Amino acid sequence: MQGMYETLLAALGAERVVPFSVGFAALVVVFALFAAIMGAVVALIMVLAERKISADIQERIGPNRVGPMGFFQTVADAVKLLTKENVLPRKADSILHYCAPTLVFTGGLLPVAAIAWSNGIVVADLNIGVLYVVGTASLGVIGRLMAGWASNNKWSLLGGMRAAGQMISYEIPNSIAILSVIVLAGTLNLQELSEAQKGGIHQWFVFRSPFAFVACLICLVSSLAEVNRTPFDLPEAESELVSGYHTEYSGIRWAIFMMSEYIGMVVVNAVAVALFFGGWNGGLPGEPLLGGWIWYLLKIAALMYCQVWVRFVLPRLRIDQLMSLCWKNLVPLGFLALLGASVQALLGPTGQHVMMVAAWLTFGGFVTLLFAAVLKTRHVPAQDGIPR
Amino acid sequence: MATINVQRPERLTLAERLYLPAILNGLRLTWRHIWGERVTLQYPEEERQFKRVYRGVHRLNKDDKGRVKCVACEMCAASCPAHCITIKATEVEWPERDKIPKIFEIDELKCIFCGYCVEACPEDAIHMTRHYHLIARSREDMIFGLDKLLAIYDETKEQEVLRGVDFGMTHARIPGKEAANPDEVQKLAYPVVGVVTKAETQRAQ
Repeated sequence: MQGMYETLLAALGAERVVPFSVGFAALVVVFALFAAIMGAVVALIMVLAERKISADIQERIGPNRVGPMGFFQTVADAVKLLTKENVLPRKADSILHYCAPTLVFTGGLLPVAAIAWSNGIVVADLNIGVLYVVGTASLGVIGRLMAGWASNNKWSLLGGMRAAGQMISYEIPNSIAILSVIVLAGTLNLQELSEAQKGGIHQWFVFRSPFAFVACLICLVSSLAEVNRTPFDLPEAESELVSGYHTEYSGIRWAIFMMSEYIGMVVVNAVAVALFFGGWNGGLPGEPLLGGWIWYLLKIAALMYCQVWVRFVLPRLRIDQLMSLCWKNLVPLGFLALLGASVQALLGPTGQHVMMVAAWLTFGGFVTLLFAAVLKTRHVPAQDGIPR
Repeated sequence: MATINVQRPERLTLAERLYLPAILNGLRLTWRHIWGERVTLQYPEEERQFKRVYRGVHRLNKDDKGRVKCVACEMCAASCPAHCITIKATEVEWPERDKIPKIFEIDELKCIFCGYCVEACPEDAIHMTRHYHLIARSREDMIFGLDKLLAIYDETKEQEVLRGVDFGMTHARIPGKEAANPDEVQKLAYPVVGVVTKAETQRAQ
């Protein structure tokens, strides 16, 4: 399959409209601009969505004064941020301070290039797509560390260090979880991964094997940690570190940090959708209705909703809890999932069926026990009589 | 050496240590709230509906002839813990009283809205309304005089407001009102600010 990029380039080259190098440069600029604008739009929508969802959960109305249903609230916010002064702390490292948001933003945007939005809509159809996305998505951590260091502020530095530590730790369960799907699918290409999940909802990897299901949960949790969102928002824990690595940032530079956070959310969810939730396939057999990209965006939106939702359910973890969750729970669990998925991939069709039945039964039993526990723990009054 | 026995909490069960049931419960709870009724009040368009016993801006009542009901006894000024009431009396040759206030001023900035003046008044001449928009351009304007307090009465004539009976002032002469039922007095002794939900307001309309 040829990517959009190559197709356009080939068309330009064949017509001899412009020299190849100029066409190439122009396309790079166009795609870069497209990605940047997409980032801004995503951030605009997500900020509003986040505020509306939080309002829903807290039984409020949320922003509703600027435009219909408060739709232009974030536009107003953006105008405010653009006109705000960029403050540079005294004795701060001005060059690093200036570069850091750019680097974070770049790290956020780079993975977007490899994401297969629909059958044929992909900027760079890389055969190592997943590897590229995982690799570039963690690039932003350098920028965060830079921001923390350059701000000449202890809180910022602590936030930057936390960001680095957290990012590097959670890369591991995330990668292992991704690997168990790669083992099942036998490809690193995001386009082919979607292709492999064609033919209805039961073909999605998350439902195809309980190991992939566990891997999916691990992937969702660790991707939450990688984009520094609650309950893993320790790098910018406002009750401990003022605002973490971007404490000393204001105006548009701060906005760039915020935008990269939302783009990071889109990227990790896009990867999760491509790997576990059928990519650009609809839930039904055959070609996706209305075009694959709509399904892809809908699935990403659903996962984003869950990420925002979880933010208003769970309190922030302590740093030791964060690390022990990663190294003592997610990593061993990830290895188990990888082992199971590998055995599944090696077995023949009969063996696979037997294994699947056994594994699904075990998994079902576990889920039943879990729900039994949920029902049991309902409305337990504390000793002082105040309901928990 | 004294021994202190400390009751240690029981060990967490497996389900509790897993945290997953708790997380699922949290998700369930928030999910219910997403579909719950909104509590936000769109203030300038919608206003809070207070209970009758809300202690807002004062008013000076008028008698059935449209004259000020106050007899300038200064009981309210005496009972006021914030000393915000100033009364200057003048003599009149009316059959039922011989004094009315020439000046009656309440400094709404000093007032702590305790309602003692309402409780103290033997004539039921001062009430507290449910008005809470206290706006003025200067401190002087926040001292409400006789005209203003009587004007508030005209505005809120139809309103059921905080009266002396609410404090158990059964001796207050309220035309057309029975002496208060002690149970009711007990119930209203603590003027509670309550919010009436939007749905209730609509039902009432």
